Amino acid sequence: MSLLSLKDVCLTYFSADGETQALNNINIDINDGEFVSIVGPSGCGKTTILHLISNLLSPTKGEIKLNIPADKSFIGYMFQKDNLLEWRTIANNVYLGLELQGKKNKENMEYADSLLKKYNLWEFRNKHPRELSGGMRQRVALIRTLALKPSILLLDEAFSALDYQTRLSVCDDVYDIIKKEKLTTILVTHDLSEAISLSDRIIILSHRPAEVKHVITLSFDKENTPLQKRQSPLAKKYFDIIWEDLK
Amino acid sequence: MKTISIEYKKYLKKQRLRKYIIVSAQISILVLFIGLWEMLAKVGAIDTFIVSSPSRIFRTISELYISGSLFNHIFTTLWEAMLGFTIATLGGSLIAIILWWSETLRKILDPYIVVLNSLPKIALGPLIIIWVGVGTSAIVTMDILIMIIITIISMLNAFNQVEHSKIMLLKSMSASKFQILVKLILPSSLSEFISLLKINVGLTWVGTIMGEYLVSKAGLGYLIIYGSQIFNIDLVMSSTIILCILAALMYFIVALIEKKVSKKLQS
Repeated sequence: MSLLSLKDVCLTYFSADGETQALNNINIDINDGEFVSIVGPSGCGKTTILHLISNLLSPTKGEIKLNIPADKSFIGYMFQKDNLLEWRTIANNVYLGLELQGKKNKENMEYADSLLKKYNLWEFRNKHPRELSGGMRQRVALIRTLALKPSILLLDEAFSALDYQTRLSVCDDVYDIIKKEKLTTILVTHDLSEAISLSDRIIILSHRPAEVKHVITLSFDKENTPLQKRQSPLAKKYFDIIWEDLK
Repeated sequence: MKTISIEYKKYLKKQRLRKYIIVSAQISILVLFIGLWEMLAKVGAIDTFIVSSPSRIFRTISELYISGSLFNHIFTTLWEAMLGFTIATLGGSLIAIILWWSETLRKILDPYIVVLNSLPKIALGPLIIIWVGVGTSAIVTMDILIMIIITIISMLNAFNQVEHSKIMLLKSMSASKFQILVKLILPSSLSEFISLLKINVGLTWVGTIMGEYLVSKAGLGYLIIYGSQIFNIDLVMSSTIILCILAALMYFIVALIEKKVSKKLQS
């Protein structure tokens, strides 16, 4: 049984100017431990799907099923911007979610601290966000999410705000973290190479109202890093397939 | 141990020199102005009956001090100004929080706030006297009216400028609206709040003196009006100068608080 399933999900936005159908009969199943990317033409409603999964929006029609016990059903959401709070130290930024959910106890704080140590940010715990580079800030944002022990991680263009070099290395870092923590991940991106280099499966959406147009299962060597996958000839083949689909 | 290059030493020396020039020019302007004023008054080039003179102002202030009424007037005005400042700043911020909380209420009240903001508050003077009576309460009411609308508008503006994606982040971590307010909106708006303090600390004197012009039995505004009515320009000038000093002092206190807060934020 899949961890998360979207069944015939439709979403329509209402405004004074009229109604816009964003999603039309979306059916997606995500398995435990899988890394799935969603790509599609810009403005097709990719982010909307993440908002639905994380309960920031409710579907107009259809249902979203989570096969997780209620006490472990937290879904982590990482945005394009790291959204670190400038007046808080790195450690206090990481504890933010624990505070909000009333879980700021010794055990959870120690877990958050262990993540900071594990991913080389411990020595920066008393610094403020502006003292860190863009790549480090995005890693802090990831740890802030991980501290809440999410069962699913949603990445919403999470690397797009970084410069290209930083993006490649943060991509590797984050992938490494995700694999170590055995997280089920859904990535929304407009960067096809990024999607190819990270995912087990890629879902291609059509123009608005978005429908699932095609699903591609990737068959890379599991041991390869995203950077290695980017350079393999297989990546080019996948790129061409997706590119054709998006036209 | 850091070594300082000769160029850097030169640079520091230049900066220090510049600072000395600026400060000494500032002091010289004041001294020159007072000296010239006094001299012209002494030789009779200007009419002291109309423009007074530094020595006459000094004498008037000493007389007020000896008669024991000087501090009475100062404290009356200071008390009114502080009271109005505190109520308007805190009350206005609270109203801004309520309007942030309820978008519907904000939309309903929007035209009223716009109209009240453009209304010259002094026009309400006679009504204030009729409604709250003569005395301190009328002055403080006038003072509050001067500040509260601009406080509401600028704080609400600050609240609404908080990035949408930060609010979404907190929501994605299942934050309640109250948590969003306390953990995100209020701390984000701290620097705007400090700027507002600086604006209000100036406005509160406008409001208080305007209130005292309308209705008062004591205070610096009262002295100014009383002095002008009996054509005692010395008294008018003296009160104005005391007012200048008080306003400057209060501004510096707020500036000091700003420095402390921003230092704390930097560390």
